[in-house]
Amino acid sequence: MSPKKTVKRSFRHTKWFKALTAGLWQDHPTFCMVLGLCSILAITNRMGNAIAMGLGVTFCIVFSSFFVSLFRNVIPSRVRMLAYMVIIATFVICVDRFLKAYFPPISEELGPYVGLIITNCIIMGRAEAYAIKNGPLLSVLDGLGCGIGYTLMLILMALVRETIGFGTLLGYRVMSGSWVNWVVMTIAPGAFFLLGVYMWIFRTIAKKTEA
Amino acid sequence: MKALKIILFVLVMGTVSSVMLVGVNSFTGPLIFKNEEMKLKSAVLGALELGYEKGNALAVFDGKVRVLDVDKTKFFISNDGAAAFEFYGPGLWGPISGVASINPDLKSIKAIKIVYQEETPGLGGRIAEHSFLKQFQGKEFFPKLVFMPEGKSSARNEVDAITGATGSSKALERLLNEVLQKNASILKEQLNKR
Amino acid sequence: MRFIKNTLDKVKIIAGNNKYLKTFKPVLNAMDEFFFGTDKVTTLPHIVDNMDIKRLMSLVIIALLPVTIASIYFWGLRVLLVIMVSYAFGGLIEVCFAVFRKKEIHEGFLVTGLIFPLILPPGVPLWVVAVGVMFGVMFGKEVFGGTGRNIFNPAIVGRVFLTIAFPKIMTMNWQMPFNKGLGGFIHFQNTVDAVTTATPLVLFKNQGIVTSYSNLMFGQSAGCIGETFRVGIIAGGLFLIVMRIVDWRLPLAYLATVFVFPYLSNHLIHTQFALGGFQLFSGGLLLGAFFMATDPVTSPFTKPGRWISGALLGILTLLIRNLSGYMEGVMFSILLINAFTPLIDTAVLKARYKKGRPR
Repeated sequence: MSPKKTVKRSFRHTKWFKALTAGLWQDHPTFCMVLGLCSILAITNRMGNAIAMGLGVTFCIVFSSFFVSLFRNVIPSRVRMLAYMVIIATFVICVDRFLKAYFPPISEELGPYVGLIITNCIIMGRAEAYAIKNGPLLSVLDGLGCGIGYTLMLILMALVRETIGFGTLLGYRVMSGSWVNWVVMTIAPGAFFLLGVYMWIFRTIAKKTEA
Repeated sequence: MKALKIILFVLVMGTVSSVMLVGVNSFTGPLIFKNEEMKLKSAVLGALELGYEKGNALAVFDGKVRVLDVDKTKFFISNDGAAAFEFYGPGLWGPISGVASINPDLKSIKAIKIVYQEETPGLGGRIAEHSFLKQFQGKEFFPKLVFMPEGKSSARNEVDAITGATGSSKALERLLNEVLQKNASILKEQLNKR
Repeated sequence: MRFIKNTLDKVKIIAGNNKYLKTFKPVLNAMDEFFFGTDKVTTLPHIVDNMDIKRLMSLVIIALLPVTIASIYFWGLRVLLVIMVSYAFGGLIEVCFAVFRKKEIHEGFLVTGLIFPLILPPGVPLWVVAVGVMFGVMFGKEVFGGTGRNIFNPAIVGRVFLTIAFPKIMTMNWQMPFNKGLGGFIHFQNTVDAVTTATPLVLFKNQGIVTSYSNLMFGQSAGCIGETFRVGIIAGGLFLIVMRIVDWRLPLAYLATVFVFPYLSNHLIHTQFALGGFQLFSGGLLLGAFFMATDPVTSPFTKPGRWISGALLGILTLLIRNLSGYMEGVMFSILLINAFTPLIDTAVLKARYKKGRPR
């Protein structure tokens, strides 16, 4: 590619930028691909948990995408799923041990859901759909975009759920003393309805901006 | 040849990731062990009502509590003779676990702490609240600890149940009676032996 | 009336020409139809029976009137306020969706808005009523596309949401009803300190107390606003059956199962269910069986399907009442069976066509 062409192209149209932003809007893992819902429903009742989970998942996506992409020419295609599993599991266990060692309260609240990041389809999906076909740097950007998109969704969910479910935000009281907690928002059924509303809003916006 | 390559790949990858995990484990293992020890010991100190600060929980525990192992139950006995032990069992919706302590007379409760429960938040979940648990102090569990409708408890073996959460209250009542009476009699035997 | 008509017409013309006000046309049309009936002229062929959805709804409202009036007597004038809040906020959601979708406002809400307050505890705070009815109309009905397309009964969706969201409010606001003189007609609500008591089902489950039948039948027991005056509910239900609004099969199957099942299971597997008569006349069973399980939109349209779903409802209600942590199982079982309604209908139709004869 000649230097002239690169100058003409704006930054927004480079493949780097596209790889990074795909997961933030047009290929958003939650409301576009509808993946990784179990953790969205299960752990977003408190903001702290949501942030920890989001960071953990982002870490796992970035590193597993990087390694899958690095070894993409070495991994035999017949055992590639197994290879993804092992790579992902390694990083998930790292996250799990790290949380247990340094943030025991959060680890306790998240419970088995940290270990269940292994089965989070977003990570497997990015490995199979992107990292196995693209270079390490692009894969990292793609993973980072998806991870951030997912984290933002978790935070949006937790924002509403913690505020009206517990009357607090990050543990600080934000509602007045007479506020009655909406217990339904602290358990999974409330998350279903909230997620439905969010997807409704985002898809309506997406439809309008596309048209 | 192809099969050999696959096997080789799997072996190498397995080894590499195992080595990595062993490394992570040796790094975080001691910390995790310490966290869990800390959690149990501070719960025990709380149940025995021995004051401690964040930093010195372990020191206080070692200085004031001795551990008595009987069969599979661990008793934590403080210097004044009160004994604490862990308990767990079924609630209405999920398991309940906690630490209970009894006074030196082996007949009455010193304190109850709930460590884990899955009851309905705001209803059965109130069994873990301090306002509910503090009424157990000094209550007798022989012949039986009884949960009464809210506001009706008067005798020395009666406490107020939670209105609207009969199932959770009943489950906790059964669990506490079982574990308190069993552990008190075990403890009595042990003390008589000496 | 002429004044209203003239004003409406004027406003309509103005609204029709203004591009911003155009969005509120459904509201004006609904008001027009409410006051003056429809001016739509249908073409041939005409259906002779003039039973349309609006008349159907108004008959259900008439059937509910005795219960509503009795509930004001038992719980005080505050009931009226609760009903008004329910209509106002449920109607708001209805209007919003009609405006956004540019469709006409449906009459279905007239019944939902009245039934919903009747299945709440008498001491329920007004904001809880508003939240519940808005949730019920939105997620029970509008997200499916409005009246006639909903899978679940909107009133029950709202009630179940409140039960899960505010367990403390929804299980602790039972009161003893008025029973002297003019009772609730001259009081706003029962005074707070004379109140908190338990419903007959709670009393039975916790302490084995069986409330007497006369108290149950004539409203002298604690319970939801509209479920305690059981004579009125039965009268309203029979009225609907006689007027052919409600098919008798589903309520009969439901009530018969509830009546017979405890005897059978107490004998066969030695359970400790309360006996059939008490089960029948306690909780929201009668109100649910006559007015909610029979909702024309969410109940099966085949006759065997009605028998089946009635029987399933009965068994589920008893199981939830007696074996779970919840006290009352009517609303949960109706919601569950609502979900199975299409399946039941399909199964019935398939079984028929297999035999090779038309329906």
